[in-house]
Amino acid sequence: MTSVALNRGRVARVAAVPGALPLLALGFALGIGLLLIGLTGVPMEKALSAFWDGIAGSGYAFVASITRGVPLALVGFGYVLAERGNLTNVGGEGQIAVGGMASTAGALYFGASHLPGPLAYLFPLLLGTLAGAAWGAIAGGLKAKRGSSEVITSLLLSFIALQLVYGSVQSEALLRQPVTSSSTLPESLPIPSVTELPLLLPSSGLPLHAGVVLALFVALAVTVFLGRTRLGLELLAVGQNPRAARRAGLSVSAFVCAAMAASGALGGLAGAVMVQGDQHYLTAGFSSGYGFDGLVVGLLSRGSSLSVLAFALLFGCLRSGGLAMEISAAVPSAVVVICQGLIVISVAAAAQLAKGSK
Amino acid sequence: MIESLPVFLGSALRLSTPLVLAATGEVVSERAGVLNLSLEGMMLSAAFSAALGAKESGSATVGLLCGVLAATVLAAAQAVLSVRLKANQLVSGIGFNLFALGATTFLYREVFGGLSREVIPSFRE
Repeated sequence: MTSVALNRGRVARVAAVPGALPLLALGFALGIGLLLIGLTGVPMEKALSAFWDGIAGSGYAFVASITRGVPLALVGFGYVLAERGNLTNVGGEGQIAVGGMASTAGALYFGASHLPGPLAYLFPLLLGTLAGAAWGAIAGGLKAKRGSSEVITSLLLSFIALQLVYGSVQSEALLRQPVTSSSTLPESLPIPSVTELPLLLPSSGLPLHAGVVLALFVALAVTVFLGRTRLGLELLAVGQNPRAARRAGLSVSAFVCAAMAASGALGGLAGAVMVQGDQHYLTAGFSSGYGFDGLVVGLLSRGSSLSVLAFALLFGCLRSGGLAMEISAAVPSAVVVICQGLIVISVAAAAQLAKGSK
Repeated sequence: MIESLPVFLGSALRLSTPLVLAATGEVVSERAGVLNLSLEGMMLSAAFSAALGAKESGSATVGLLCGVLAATVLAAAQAVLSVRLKANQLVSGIGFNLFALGATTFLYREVFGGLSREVIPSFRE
């Protein structure tokens, strides 16, 4: 017991320095990562230079790391929004999936390409957002009406959504491209170029799309909404004490539904951004774990918008670096997954140590 | 149709065994107030350790014990986080799942090699 108390004292001193604990947790996880790279027998220099080249070795790589962070940040903000109402949205993966499907359908078949100017890409974005909102609202509605745990329902809805994407690209009646030969892949047609998100630096040739601006705008909007508006405060009240909120005249079930819908909307937007900004067509499994990584970003940020952006960027970089390390240095990208897990575990432990020591 | 019924029932029973075992474990931890989200990670690490133990020792029983031991070690680490450090159980559970997924993928490639179809000792004999 004394040793624990001593440790806590030491941790308290470290925790007094702002940002020290997350940095220590990060350092610990990356240290283990280095150790594992050593185990594979790949020369350390080669692995690390591949990792760094993947993150920021060129303008292209750096932009790719940033744009990988965009859907993570959007899903993370969705998590933060729901969390304020004491709701846990773990369904980011499914909300990305339905958002991507709706945006692809809008861009290809609902005439978005005939719309004037920016409407051509804004309309599919809106459709994706609405689809995500509907997917989140199902979990919210079940929570409000039947008391089902939104953790379970939003998680299970994700698996349904992933299968819906799979089904929709298998059938020509839905989103599959016309089958012309036996080698036609089960994917959608590429979306028209006017429905793609505009590039911010078109002359440089870098794929830096407008999703980055969108993520920063969402960051500002969520921060203002939660910190400066009446509705944001009411959402907090509903989350902290539903009975008192009901006595004060607030409709708890409306808040639960709306918060889950808003949270899902950001997930859907993330899916639309992935299709219209990066991939430009729909394929099964296109969400590839971004929803779950975004959930981790939201969990780690503990409600701070700056932390959401920082963790989203970090996880985007880890993804880019891990891929590059696997391709050019043959280090399994599982090393990056291990590091992510260790970051989550050590931040979880450190957060509580810091709180307990105050 | 009717003659395939026993096969169907048999395989349903066989496939439900891991679910029954894992769910029973979850019930025990929920009774103690711990949401064990890292069941997936525990099953993964146990499966890998069991395969490794069985391969190295040549005995399925030793493999089984190795699997149980590995999951117990992971569970003990999670218990320290949840009970002693009072960490958020959702966060730590997800963390352990990620860690176990990465660790088993990594070790599998290091120990068995990329596309191994190696047969390990089983209980069938």
